[in-house]
Amino acid sequence: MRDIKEFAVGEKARLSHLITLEDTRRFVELTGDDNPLHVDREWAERSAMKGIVTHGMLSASFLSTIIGKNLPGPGALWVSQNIEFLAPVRLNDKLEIEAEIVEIHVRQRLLKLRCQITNQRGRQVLTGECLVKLLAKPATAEAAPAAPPRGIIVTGASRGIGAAIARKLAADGAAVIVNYRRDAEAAASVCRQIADAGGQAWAIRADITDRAQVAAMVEEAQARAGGLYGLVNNASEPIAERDFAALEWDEVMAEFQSQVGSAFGCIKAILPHLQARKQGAIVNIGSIVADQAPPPTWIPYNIAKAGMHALTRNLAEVLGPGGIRINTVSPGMTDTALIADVPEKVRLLTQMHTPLRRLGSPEDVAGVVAFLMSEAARHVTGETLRVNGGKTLL
Amino acid sequence: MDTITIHNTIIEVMAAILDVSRDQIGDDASMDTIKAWDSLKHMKLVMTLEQEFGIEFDDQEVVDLLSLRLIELAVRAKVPA
Repeated sequence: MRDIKEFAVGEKARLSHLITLEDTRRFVELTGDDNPLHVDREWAERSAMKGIVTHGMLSASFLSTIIGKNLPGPGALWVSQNIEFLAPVRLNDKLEIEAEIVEIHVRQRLLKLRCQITNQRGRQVLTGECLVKLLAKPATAEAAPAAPPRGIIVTGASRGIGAAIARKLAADGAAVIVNYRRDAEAAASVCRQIADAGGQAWAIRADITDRAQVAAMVEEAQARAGGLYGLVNNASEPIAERDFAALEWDEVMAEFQSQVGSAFGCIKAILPHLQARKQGAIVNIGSIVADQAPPPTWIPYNIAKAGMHALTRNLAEVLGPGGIRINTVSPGMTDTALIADVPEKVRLLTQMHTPLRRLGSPEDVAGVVAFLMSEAARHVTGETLRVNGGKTLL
Repeated sequence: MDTITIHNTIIEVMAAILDVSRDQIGDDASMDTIKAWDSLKHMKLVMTLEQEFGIEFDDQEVVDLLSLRLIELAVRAKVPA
């Protein structure tokens, strides 16, 4: 299919056709028009036409051929046509069908064509004008760039869910930045596990609440991975239990800054790299507490996680036109050090009140993050994927 | 009462009330794994456990006694060591 802008006034197309008795027979079969003027030689010879005249629309039908196959060709929609039949067409006439562009209306995607058909003696047998609309090309998924950059930063990746995400992304082919703040040995261990499995990973220390440290981490990540594709905002401090009566607003703000502020800052820092290539993916790790009755002594954490969910939804619309996707993965209670202080009874009850009858594992969460980072999720943004064994159903 | 005695007593009560052999009551025993453990049997089980250990469960605790491990946790919390 050609673009409307590729056509020019004066462009012509031609084709030839010899009108045969077989053409007439098939036209009668198709349309049911067995007017004796077209099919009965004796009758026609006695008429004023002194012989068989072939169907006018049989000749005109070749205008459809030239429009559909030549000018403008595939994707053309014949919108209107006026026709003047100037002379009869007889059996065994050789017709020259011609169309010429006389007007182009780019915005409406319309071409105006002048059409004419002449016989073998050069006599015009038909003239007319038509409007043809050039349909837009059928929508197809845009082909992915040949080699998108592979670098993905995972914050808080030295342990728990973050470490599992780093391992899974590396196993899927990403060059992973294992961000950590305190435990260098644990981060190095994650990198070794990835390397032993044949993957690529680098540990980079950065306090993600510090803008300068985040900027330095992103630049180093870009240099090491040779290009950045994504970010997983995973880092989270252990949950501090506090009764509302004893809770200070500063504690709420500190948790909010730690989670949402850090995610916000990391997104801001990596964004120029993703925007430059018009592709990228971000995953925010949310929590089931944003969906269900939140634990009453986790107020700062609950508010912060609700903020992470809101951040995703807000940025999906902002980043989407630039080719960047952002989604939330929302785990239920997951078996990590983060829930070390959760009483056994609560863990057992959570299991029993979960359709799949177990707590989540870090690998359960990692698998869903990897999906959202993958090409398979190329048309998914602004979503929350819950990884909680069906807990939110109950 | 020590935890082993509590465990064995609960198993005996469960086997009797739910009409299953002790061997069928594994560590993961729950309303999912023992078909006979329906709501009527559950109430009978709770009452027998209360009599056996001389304790009382409140309404929420009764609802939460969904597995052997949860019953053990609840009983241990009420029975002096």
